[in-house]
Amino acid sequence: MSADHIESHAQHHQPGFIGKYVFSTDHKTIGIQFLFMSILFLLLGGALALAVRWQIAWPWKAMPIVGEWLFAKQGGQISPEFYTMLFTMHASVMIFFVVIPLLTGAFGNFCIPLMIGARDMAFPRLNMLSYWFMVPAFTVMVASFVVEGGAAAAGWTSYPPLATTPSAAPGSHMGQTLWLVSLIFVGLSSLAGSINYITTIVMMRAPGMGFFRMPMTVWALFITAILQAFALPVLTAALILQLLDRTIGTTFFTPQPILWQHLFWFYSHPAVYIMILPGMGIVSDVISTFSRKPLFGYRPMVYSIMSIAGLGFIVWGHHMFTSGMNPALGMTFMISTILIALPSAVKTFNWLGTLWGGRIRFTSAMLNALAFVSLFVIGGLSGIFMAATPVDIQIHDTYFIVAHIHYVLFTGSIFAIFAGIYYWFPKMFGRSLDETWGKVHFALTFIGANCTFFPMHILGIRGMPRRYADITDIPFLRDLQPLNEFITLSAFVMGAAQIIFLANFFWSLFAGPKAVINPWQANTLEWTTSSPPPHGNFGETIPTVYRAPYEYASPEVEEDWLPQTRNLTKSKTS
Amino acid sequence: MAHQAATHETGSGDWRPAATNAKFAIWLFLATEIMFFAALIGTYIVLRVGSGSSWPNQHEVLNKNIGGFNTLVLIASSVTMVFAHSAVMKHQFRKMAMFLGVTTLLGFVFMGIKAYEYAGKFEHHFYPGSTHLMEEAAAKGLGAAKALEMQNLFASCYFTMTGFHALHVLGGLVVFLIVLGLVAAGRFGKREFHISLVENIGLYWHFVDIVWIFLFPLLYLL
Repeated sequence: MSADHIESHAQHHQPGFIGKYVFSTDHKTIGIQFLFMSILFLLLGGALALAVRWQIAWPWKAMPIVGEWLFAKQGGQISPEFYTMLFTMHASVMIFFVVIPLLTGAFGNFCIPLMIGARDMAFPRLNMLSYWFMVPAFTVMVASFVVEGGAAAAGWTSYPPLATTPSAAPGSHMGQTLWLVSLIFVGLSSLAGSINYITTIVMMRAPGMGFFRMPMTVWALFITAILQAFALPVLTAALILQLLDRTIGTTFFTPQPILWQHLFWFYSHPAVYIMILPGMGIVSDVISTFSRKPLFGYRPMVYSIMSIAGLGFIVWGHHMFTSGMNPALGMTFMISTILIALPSAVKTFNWLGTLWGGRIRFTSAMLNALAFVSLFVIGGLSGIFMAATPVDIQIHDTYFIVAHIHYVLFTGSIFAIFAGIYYWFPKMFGRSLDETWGKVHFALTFIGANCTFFPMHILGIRGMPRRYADITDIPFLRDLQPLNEFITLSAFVMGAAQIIFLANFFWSLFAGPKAVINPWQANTLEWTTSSPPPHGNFGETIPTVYRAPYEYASPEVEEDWLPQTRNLTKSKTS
Repeated sequence: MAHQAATHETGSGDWRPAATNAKFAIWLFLATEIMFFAALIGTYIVLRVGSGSSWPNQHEVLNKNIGGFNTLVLIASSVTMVFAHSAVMKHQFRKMAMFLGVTTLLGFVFMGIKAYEYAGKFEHHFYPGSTHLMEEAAAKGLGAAKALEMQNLFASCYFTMTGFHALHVLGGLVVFLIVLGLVAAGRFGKREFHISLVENIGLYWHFVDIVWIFLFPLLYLL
């Protein structure tokens, strides 16, 4: 039945302009809508980060632009509560409007149907809805900046009683409430997306596309969607409870504020895997393609993604080691957390094994993927440090944590996202990005990121607490100030490097050289259709899949790539 | 069929479940709903067990006879839903409409009784953030204030859990009315998904029923 079912989607009706670019049900357009929206928020989140860094490096010095504009009376000097809002909104924007929508929204939408050989998602209208649920979410979040008291300022973790008591956090009036409303909409969007992705992958793969012939990107997005579908409803419930606490006078988090932490981290720990697993999938595809070698250990890669996701559900307590936990429970969370190092190491060794002896092509996509592998290891190793309860109690709420999360989420997820953009840009827009400027952007970002985030480990070990607007009045931290200034300067270099990326992106979008069907000589299905693919993705018939996705350097053919659609038995007999 | 031939030729078992996309998705959706209600029910259990003896006596607030009767109403609506599904499988649309109509009616009876219960609570100023009760407690002193804090917590749990359940019932009733409208307009069964739609909303309705089977003893009996 499924083949018939897939064919029934093949009506090539031509939608009008609004139907094609605004209210589109085409998964490719929806993916690109997510991409543009997230890039916009990447700029906002980045600007917030730079403002945070400015305050830490040069406390209470007149902040450029923002200070003159908002704090003219104080001579451009920002207020402490404004700083609190800056780091809260930096994290909220980056997590909920940049990394998650880029990985699951942009790449999930664009890649899944193309890579499994489907004409669209299982439910195109639900898919459109999942994008349009994001519109109220980001409208409300952006609007919260201008309400009385400003945007949310209780940290992205929004712990009660700070977050539930209207007067506790400075400026936490309407802003905090709007933050909750916004995230409930994000949750609805992701939930609709996840159900759609899982259904599409399970039900609509092309003939011959067995589960173990799916590219790693699809596997990773599949497992991510499952994680999201089962963890997110718990956060949605918790957000609703906090919203009711703030509005109608319920008291869920008054007697036991720790309850919020459990509900919050039950989602938000899996959320860090939601933010890294798709990146791992993208990087696997990019590394195999540009090493011209099959992915080393395909099945162990799949199983290790599964075990990371499975373990991800039972480790949330490691965020709460200092909240006063039964030691037996703490031990359990510690061991389950450390266990995650095993599947992560399997993946790392497999990437290295893929590279080993390959004929590596150093494209921009490949460079970003290599940066992911090398820097994710740093983030992974510091993760083992803080998984150990005694160490964590020492470094909890210091810059060591900040260093760790940025090594995972910036040098991990963001480099994977860049790798994905450089890799699929020709397929998305039918034009190619400039490779030279791509490499310049990569080099500056790589250096900038390491100079920004690596010294934060040292700050953390030395005991510098996070979320403090000014550490210069703490005597034992005073000599860290030059390091803080260095970090801020590096952050500005890194921020400036993104201008190169944006210029390259938009210039290439309109004036880049036309892309061919398969510019990277890759094997997966999206490279068998035109760039950009037509509405319905594939021509008259859905491709048939005959082989695994990574058969590079096969002795059976003369070229060093062997597309999944190529049937060798047929060509031999003919 | 072309698909089986292709599977044979490509040498890969590209297995997929024998269900429509919609049915697969509705099961997934219900699984996510389980997580949603698990969070609410878990919150309630943690708060209640964690409060120990200071938790208010729920039996003074909730009438288990009314709650029990409402449980029966909802279970009966699940039975008629099964009859509606069985009728639609045999393409007996009039019979299906009759049973679905009874299901809808029972759903509204459930909502009516729920509204009656809610009205009673509001009459006694038993609702989250009730200023009346707070003023009363402030007059009585510290001990009463503590008891009322707990009362407010229980009211929070009761209204949130039953409230979200009622919203789910309402959602189901809206879809039922749409299907009944299609039957009345003579358009039901014109498109293939109408048949599976009845099965899928049936699955949803049974789920909503099961949630209540958990809520009733947790709130009214224990």
